[in-house]
Amino acid sequence: MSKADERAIDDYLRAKGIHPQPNPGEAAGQGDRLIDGLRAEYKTLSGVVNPTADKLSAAISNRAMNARSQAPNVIIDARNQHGMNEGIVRRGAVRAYNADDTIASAAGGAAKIESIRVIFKDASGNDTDIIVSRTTS
Amino acid sequence: MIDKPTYSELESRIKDVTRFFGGTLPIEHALVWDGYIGALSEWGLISVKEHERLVHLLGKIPAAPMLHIALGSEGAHELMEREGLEDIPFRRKSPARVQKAGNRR
Repeated sequence: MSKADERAIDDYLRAKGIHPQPNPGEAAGQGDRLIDGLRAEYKTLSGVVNPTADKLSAAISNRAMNARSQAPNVIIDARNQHGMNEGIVRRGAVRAYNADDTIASAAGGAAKIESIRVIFKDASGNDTDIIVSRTTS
Repeated sequence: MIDKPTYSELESRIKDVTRFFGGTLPIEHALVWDGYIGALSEWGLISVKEHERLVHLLGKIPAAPMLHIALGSEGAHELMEREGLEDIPFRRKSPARVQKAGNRR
């Protein structure tokens, strides 16, 4: 993920009054940022050429699962992926939680992902985001 | 209109089957339950937290089948390679059905 991609997420969050801080553990693969003291990993999502609800929600779940070893809070910037909507985002996040739970069961450990925030463009082309939390979703 | 499933009902059903088999779900049963509750979760009929709690009732199960459903086969394969998870489901010894349960008719 490029620095420009990271800055784009930082800028979006700051505009919402959220202040991501540098994470001293970033180089060690422990998350890109600290947000309210919690480790967060940034990912981008674009280039799904067949943007059905299945493919898009699977892409979200894959990005989240790629991030789970770095940090428990995942932020995915999908603004460059067309076809996103709230239902697809929620479904994709739940698919990631299902995968996370199943790996935890197979390994005999605990699930890792605590929250998944997806930034995307709404039907009017405006930037928006949804957080799907493990504890409240 | 059918009511949404409740956590307590699903928990009770899983525990009933587990009890029937002497305290451990045979792997085939555990995998079917994993898919069953995974579908309920994906389609919003149970919460993420309820899914997590129910999965724990199934015992240790191979991750591959659910990963293929949740991530798609390509993503599941990549993840399993990266995390060193087996793609071939292991088998655990099916516990003998308890005599008392076997005599139920």
